[in-house]
Amino acid sequence: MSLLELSNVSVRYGAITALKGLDLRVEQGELVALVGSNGAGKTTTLSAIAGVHKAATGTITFDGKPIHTRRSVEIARRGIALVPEDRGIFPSLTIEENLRLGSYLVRDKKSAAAELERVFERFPILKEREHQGAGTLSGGEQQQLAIARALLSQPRLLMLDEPSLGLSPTLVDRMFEIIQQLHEEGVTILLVEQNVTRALELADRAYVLTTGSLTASGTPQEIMNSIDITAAYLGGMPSAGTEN
Amino acid sequence: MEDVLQFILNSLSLGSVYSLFALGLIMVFGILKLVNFAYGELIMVAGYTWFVLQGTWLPLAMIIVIAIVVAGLASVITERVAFRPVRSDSMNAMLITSFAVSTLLQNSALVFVSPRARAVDVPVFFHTTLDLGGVQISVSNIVVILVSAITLFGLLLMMKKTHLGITLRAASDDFRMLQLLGVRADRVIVSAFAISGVLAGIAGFLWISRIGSVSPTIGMAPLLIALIAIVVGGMNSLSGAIVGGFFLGTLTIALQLLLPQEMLAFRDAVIFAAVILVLVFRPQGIVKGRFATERIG
Repeated sequence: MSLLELSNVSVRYGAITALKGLDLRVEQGELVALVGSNGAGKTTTLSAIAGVHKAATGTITFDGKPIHTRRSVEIARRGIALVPEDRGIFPSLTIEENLRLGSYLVRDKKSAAAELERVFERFPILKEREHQGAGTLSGGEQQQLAIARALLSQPRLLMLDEPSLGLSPTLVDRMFEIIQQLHEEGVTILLVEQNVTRALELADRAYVLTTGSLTASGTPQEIMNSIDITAAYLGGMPSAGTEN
Repeated sequence: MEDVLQFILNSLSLGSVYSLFALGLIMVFGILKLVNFAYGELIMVAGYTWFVLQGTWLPLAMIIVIAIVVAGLASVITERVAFRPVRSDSMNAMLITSFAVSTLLQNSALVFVSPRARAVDVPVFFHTTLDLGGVQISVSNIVVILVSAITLFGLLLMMKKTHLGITLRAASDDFRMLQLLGVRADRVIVSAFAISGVLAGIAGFLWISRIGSVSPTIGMAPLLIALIAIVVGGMNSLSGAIVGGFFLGTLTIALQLLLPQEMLAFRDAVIFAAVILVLVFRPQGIVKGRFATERIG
């Protein structure tokens, strides 16, 4: 049984169908990449899984139980953490307070403290600026904070929406290193990326979305070999990581 | 010298009550983006609780505490019964609901108590003055300033240090993200209403002890004051509410002092003119805050 399974999921915004009958699954411990150009429905997919937007058709099951009728709070409580594209950090809180809210769901205080130590080891800059206002952080630091906060909830599935967006090339490298590390440590990750090449390097499997429909799926090798990818997807795309 | 000290004390006293009014209103606004027009009626509820209980054996301090708790409870009940069911509807639904709750409470007081003002027993020592090295200081001013200072300090400490405070601030920043972290909206919102009600209760006690009576419409002036204070102070932060409250309080006292006798009737007109002037130059209010402007369902 897959950890996460989407079957025939459609999402509509008014008259517009942003996602058409998507089938997707993520196995325990996998790093699955969801790639595609702007407006392909990648963020919509994550929103549907997280319960921010309701699926108009289809089912989403997590750990064998349907979650598409649940509200976002309940879905978060089942162990799905979303790091949204805008990072969603709380600017008027300090870094430490932001992180504290990340471990909101963890009842075991000892394990929360241990996880915080691990997060600080992984992101030393956050430890350094612990008491600084989160609104004063740079884009890259905010992204680290957002991922750190998501990790603190000890999620069973981590969903990252464009983690490389708006970062300098060095930081993009660092970000992908972090994602790879997390993957190696056994965190199940669903990664949405514009930076296809980088995403495919890391992923166990990938899905390609074009204007709301699935155009390819499989191992990175299979996708690389498929012919449509350049046409369907790379056409006119700016180099990833610099797009606004 | 004596006049200056007197002016400062009066401004501090009125300004701090206004600040408490404004804080209570912004507590809910920061999170729901709702101007709760039933806020003034919470002050009324506190006042009538005081009026009803003053005939009993309970000591005044106890009565005041009960009145404050009842205001907090009333706030929580209005959230649960009136606001929660319409929360996911439009902003207008919430706004109209708040008008409805306000009218309902006002009319209940009208029907069940009396349309006329009822006197509350303010302790005599409130109206005495202390002689401090030649300067006359009214006891009520001291009580108001002390109670407000303690409340303000307590509230800020809670917002800064406690888990609830952090959650409330985060909710003002980005409620949707807070829910994505697994925090239930209902609990955050009900806490905001409870705090708002308690603030209304405390400020209401101070307000009513100045006036000496309670009437069904007693909440209207505080609501208006709170609304103007948060608009002029800045609707996007707690400090905006505090600054706005003290701004209005000081301005009121200053005009009371400076305007010639025959102009005093126009005091409020002058205050509003000053508020408009501030907003012309600083449309965001005096303090620029960080609250998100998006509303959550």
